[in-house]
Amino acid sequence: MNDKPLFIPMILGTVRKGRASENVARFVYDETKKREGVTTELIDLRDLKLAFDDEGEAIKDASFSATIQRADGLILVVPEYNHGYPGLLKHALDSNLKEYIHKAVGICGVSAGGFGGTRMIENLLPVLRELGLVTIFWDGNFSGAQKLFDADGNLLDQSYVKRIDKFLGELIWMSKVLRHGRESVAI
Amino acid sequence: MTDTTKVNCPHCSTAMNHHAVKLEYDSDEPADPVFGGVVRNVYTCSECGAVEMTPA
Repeated sequence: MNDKPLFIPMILGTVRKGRASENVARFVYDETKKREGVTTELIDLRDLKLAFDDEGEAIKDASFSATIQRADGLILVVPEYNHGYPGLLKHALDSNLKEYIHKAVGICGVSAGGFGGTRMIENLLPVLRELGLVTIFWDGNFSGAQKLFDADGNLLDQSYVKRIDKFLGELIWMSKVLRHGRESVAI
Repeated sequence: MTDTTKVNCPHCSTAMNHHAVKLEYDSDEPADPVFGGVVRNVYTCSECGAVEMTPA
């Protein structure tokens, strides 16, 4: 089996000013970096600068595409806006196609209320399935996100460390298995 | 729909594994009348991880 480190980048799925999801993304990013045999990268939608006069692969960003192509799995940190996911995240995800196929994805939902983005996650799952991604059955749910971190972005509730450890364990396993499948098992 | 075509990685020349079939809905090419999209074969390189799609 391929013993190269897994590459599991993270997409911060909102550009909103004052976004609470940025603290969540940095926390999950730091926890991911601690995992042996895993490399990661934080992709901020703000940096992609995708065009808005077209959609889909027509607006493909070469660097974003190459990063997703190289990836073995993906972490999406996504806020819940009006029970849905941000439109800009969909705009960015749709710019790739073959890059996603048979790769693992895990979602960290972020919300101001008490449901940790679960309604957004339920809406996002069928989109990810159509892209060819394989969703794991463990989510990150960050409720009351504005109060979860101090002014410097430090996590105030340490129970999330254990929760994200379980989430990453599942995502890493699925990424590993799917990499073996992509590289070695013919359909 | 097992594909037996041999595809070599355009980056490192390693023989690629056929690991998926994908429907493409936005293509300019005519859609398959059964599936409603253009059928693509997807290959992955075991050496460098590159992913390639070819017409099915």
